[in-house]
Amino acid sequence: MQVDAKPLTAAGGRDVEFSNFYARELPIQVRRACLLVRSTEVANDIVHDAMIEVFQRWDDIREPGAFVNRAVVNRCRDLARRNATHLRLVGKLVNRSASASMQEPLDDLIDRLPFNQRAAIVLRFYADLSIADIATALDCPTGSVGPWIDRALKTLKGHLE
Amino acid sequence: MTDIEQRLSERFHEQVEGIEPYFDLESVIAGTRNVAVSSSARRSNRVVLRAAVAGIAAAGIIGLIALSNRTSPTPSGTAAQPTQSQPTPAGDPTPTLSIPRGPLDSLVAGATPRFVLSVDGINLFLANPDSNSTCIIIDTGDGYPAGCTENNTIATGEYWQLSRDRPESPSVLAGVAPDDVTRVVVNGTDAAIAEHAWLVVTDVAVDSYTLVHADGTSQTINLNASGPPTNTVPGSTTPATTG
Repeated sequence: MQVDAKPLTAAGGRDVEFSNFYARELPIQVRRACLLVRSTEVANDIVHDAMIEVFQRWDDIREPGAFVNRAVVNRCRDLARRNATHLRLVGKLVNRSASASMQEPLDDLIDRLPFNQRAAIVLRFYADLSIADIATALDCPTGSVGPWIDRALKTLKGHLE
Repeated sequence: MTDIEQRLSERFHEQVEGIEPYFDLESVIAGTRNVAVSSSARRSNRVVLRAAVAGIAAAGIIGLIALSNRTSPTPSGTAAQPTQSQPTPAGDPTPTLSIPRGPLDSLVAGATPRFVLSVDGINLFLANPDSNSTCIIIDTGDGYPAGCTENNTIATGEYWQLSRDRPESPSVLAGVAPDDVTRVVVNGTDAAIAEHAWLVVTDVAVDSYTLVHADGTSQTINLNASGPPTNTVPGSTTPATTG
């Protein structure tokens, strides 16, 4: 699809607005996505695709911050679903050596949480989003977020104690 | 904020510290994936390019491997001879096999796996995403489970076991051994070994494996024990506790 590319140096207007938004949100979104997909490169791809979508629909989007949050989380969720299917099909290669315990046990526990719980705690305790903003990003009722966070914390605590 | 919440917050921030985006504004406006000119981006470009080139070669190699396994099957429980990876063109250190984008690239980001050896139709690949890490990838024919480790932990006897959904499936055990290991013995049989990676496919339960070092000493790793591996010295009846 051909995109209308105006000079970024033009004062005011759509491109400058998007430019400011992009500069502010890009590193934040990449780091968040990285926590959800565990890969810097995949996180960059996901955020890049989401940013293209934001740019293409810039004139129609009323809250670009919320929009990009949701676009990135949706893409991470899609990937998590594909990964889950893949792992069910092929089994899992389990590192059982003693030295595996050198890895931070919390990471392993977080990876095993269902996607919505994992995303909820990342958005809450890393991104510091409100419950309402998390619900928007996860495209779910506000009432679902609290229980997801509680369940995630309970699971993590249970395994760490 | 509770203790676990505080710990989560700190851990998340630690994990993403120093992570910077690859892409730039111009590439978004162009709607393409033109990455910004930075060292990490150039690396990423090379990886993508290499993956594309290697992917074409990989299809042929996988076909050859499959054909080879079909025409000369190795009995289950017997380690096959390691197969050397295909030579790469002069001046191009690019490994010969890539992994599909999707599930796997989140496991071995930034590295192109190289074929190392094959046993009973199961292929083993290695990848080094950076100078400190080694990743092992097993191609079971229906997917690519993978695991990674830091190089400085390999000396402790690093291994992975593939757990499969079907109980009748053979056990698959793979590992990377320290440089001075010449043989890896599993259930009395030598494992296939190449480039310090080894692979065993067996119908018999595996409880331990033994690394035999070039100086004649050996080290037995018990899969069910959480303690340190047992080291033995030839000619001695007393296990040494070195290493």
